[in-house]
Amino acid sequence: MAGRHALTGHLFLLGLCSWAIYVQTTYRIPGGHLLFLLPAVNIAATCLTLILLILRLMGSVSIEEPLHTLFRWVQLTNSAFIVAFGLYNGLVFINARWDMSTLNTVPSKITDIGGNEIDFGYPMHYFWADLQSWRSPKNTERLMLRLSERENLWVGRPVLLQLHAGYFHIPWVSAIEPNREREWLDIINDIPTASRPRQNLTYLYLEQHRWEEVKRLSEQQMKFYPNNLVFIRYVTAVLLNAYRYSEIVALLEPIAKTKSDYQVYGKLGFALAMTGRKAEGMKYLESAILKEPRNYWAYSALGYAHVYTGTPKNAVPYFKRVLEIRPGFPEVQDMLRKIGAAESPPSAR
Amino acid sequence: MKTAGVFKNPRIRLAIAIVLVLAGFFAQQRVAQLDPEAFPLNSLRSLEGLTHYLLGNYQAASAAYRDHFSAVHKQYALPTNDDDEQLGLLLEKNYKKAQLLAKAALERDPSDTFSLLTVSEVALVENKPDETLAFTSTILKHEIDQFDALFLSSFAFVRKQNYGAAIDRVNLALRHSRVQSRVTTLLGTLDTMGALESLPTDQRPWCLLAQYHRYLRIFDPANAKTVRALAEKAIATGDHPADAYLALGILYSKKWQTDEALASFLQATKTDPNHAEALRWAAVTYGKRGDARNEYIFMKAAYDVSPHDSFYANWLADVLMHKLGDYQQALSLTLNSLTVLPATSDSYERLGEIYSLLGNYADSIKAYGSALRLNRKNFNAYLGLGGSFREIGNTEEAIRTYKAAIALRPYSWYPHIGLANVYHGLSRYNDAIIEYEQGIALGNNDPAQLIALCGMYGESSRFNKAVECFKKALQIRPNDVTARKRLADAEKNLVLSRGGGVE
Repeated sequence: MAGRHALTGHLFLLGLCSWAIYVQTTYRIPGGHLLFLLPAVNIAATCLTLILLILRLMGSVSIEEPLHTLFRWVQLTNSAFIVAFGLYNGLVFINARWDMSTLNTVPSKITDIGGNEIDFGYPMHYFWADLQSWRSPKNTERLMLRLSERENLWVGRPVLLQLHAGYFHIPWVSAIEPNREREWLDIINDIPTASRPRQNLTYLYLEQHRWEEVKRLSEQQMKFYPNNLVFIRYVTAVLLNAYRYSEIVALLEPIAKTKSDYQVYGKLGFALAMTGRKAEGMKYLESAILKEPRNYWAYSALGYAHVYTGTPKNAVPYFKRVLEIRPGFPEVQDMLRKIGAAESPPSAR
Repeated sequence: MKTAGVFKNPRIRLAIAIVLVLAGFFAQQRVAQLDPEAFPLNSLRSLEGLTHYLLGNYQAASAAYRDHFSAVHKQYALPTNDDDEQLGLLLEKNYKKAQLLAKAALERDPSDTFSLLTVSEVALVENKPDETLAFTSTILKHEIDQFDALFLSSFAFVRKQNYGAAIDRVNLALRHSRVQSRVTTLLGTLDTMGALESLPTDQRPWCLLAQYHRYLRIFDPANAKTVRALAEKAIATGDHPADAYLALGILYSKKWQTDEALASFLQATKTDPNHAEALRWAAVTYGKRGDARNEYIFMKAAYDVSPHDSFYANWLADVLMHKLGDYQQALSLTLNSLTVLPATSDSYERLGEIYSLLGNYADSIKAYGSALRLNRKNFNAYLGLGGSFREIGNTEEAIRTYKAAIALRPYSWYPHIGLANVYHGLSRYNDAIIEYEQGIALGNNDPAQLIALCGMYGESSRFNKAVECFKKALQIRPNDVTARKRLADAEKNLVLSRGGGVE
């Protein structure tokens, strides 16, 4: 009976160890070197528990004095360690799982990196990185790395940390990734003709709604690669959906002078109309229609341009043309109804 | 009697059982690491070969495996196949007959690689390394970096004690992710290694041995430790240290120890600044770390020291186009390569892509045309050509080209997305939907294509589906303004189509 209890105890400790390792690698607490010892001691304790468990399973083997007393002490100390780590990791777990704070992205830089592979027949890796501290730049913070993270990091690489405040105000890190923005900017500075990093950076800024930077980078891109319109068509489509008309005008007006392209004319025309240059905008939209007369978008854009600039009556023929190409288009039918209602005498309302 | 008594002790019995289980486990682990095609274990001779190999008796291992492969070959070879017959005769060591058969085949086709390899091997057996080198150079002229030819020429250089050239040949062979086309190359390697290891210690070419173990590592990862030890010895004795650092770096690289790998490659380039392969590996390692700038610098250096090697020209062009996007420089490089190197379908395909990225679609179409004339099955050339036709507004040709690409590779999503874009431009929304859906079903997971599909649902007035689709897209890209704006449009149209009003 006592043997069965002891066996259950070892299994419990082994489970607790495994869970503690999972917690430490998932909800990582950045800190000094001492804090980093915890997972190492934890792994050692796990190994020791495993050995003790195997010895327990080989119950027929008797250990004689003075080894028996030593064995008991090792068991007790190990159990005490594991329970202490279990409690600590319980705190770490709750700190992360109950954390409702906003994710904070913190820039840092790798100052040292280390780790190794242990081969038990199946290779096991452990890695860590020292990072320039975001709390006090003179110090470093040590953080455990996952294999997937290790592959992309090196000493001196600028990184971004996904830092969480923690329920108990113990900061923890959910991810560490290269600071691509910084690197792309460096490449562009060194090799101005490099278009990939500039395009990638533009897409990043589009996602972050950093419109001024989008405009600046797109202008640079068109300066080096003026004949490739694929990139600028995409960027201005996003800008149009974000109602960034002045940026569209700045980007497409120089292009429209030399390139005859439906999308360039259409987007520029609408953007010009929306930024107070209605007559010029209408001309570009008419030019777009001449290029693709079966495409309803430019008619629709002309119609909306008239509606938004105070001449809704002039929009009617364009909206009607839209319905010829795309019968039953609800928003255009609705628009025509609204324009019609606006023109009705007050008594009819 | 006393011994029997020891075995009766339960503790001793348990200890022996544990030792046996552990030994069995480790033996199983060791054998499981081996590639069963290179080191089979399904006959007595193969067991003998494996045992010799594991003990480091490479020539004995080669002899045993030769018998094993010969027996297997007799069982499975096609009696009417000339190549099979030549290989069978080589495995049987019937070199005269193999040579006669190969020479007869060469009279019919002087560039027949298999027969040239056979006569090269026989020349080596007859200890005529110069003849081997002449035959292999014929192969390498029309089939750049042919693996077996490079290894055979390496063995020939070993016979001439020109270990530096032997190392170069192994480096050239191992820079590709392919291995031998016939088992005699592997057996020849074991033979050559055995011969080199029988030399007095002070005469052994440590670095070359490390290179041959690099090759064996492909089939048996346990060779990594040997490569390391041999490379370190080569460095310590000054035996081709740049190649030794290269071998060390590659080992680290395979274990994802990129910092150590890079340090080794940089040391190799410091030792020999004209070592193109070390420069390339340094570039590749920088690339792996996401450092495109240094990747470019080192790849450019590799190309500069080896400008007539299409391998480095292709790598540099790839970095320029896909990492840096420096299309002007990629254009000069590719045009230059086409004047000094044999024109291939791939080089014209690259030229087509560069012209297309520069917005020069007329020249792009011409270049893709040349690529397809040289290889009618160049799938990427069809894709590029389709895109260029679309850009100049020749949608009929674009559709025809994408359909040809689909016929070539029905399970690739690329031509479906290309075709969808063409239909989108033509306002053929239902056709575009079919192609986008197929492209996504075949594995395209780019959120931009999903958003394009959602847009098509909206354009074809399937607002319900558009709303669902945009919501799904926003789960992937929550900040996408296009998806947000178009979701709002689709919701508005959905309400209106149901007779509701929208203010």
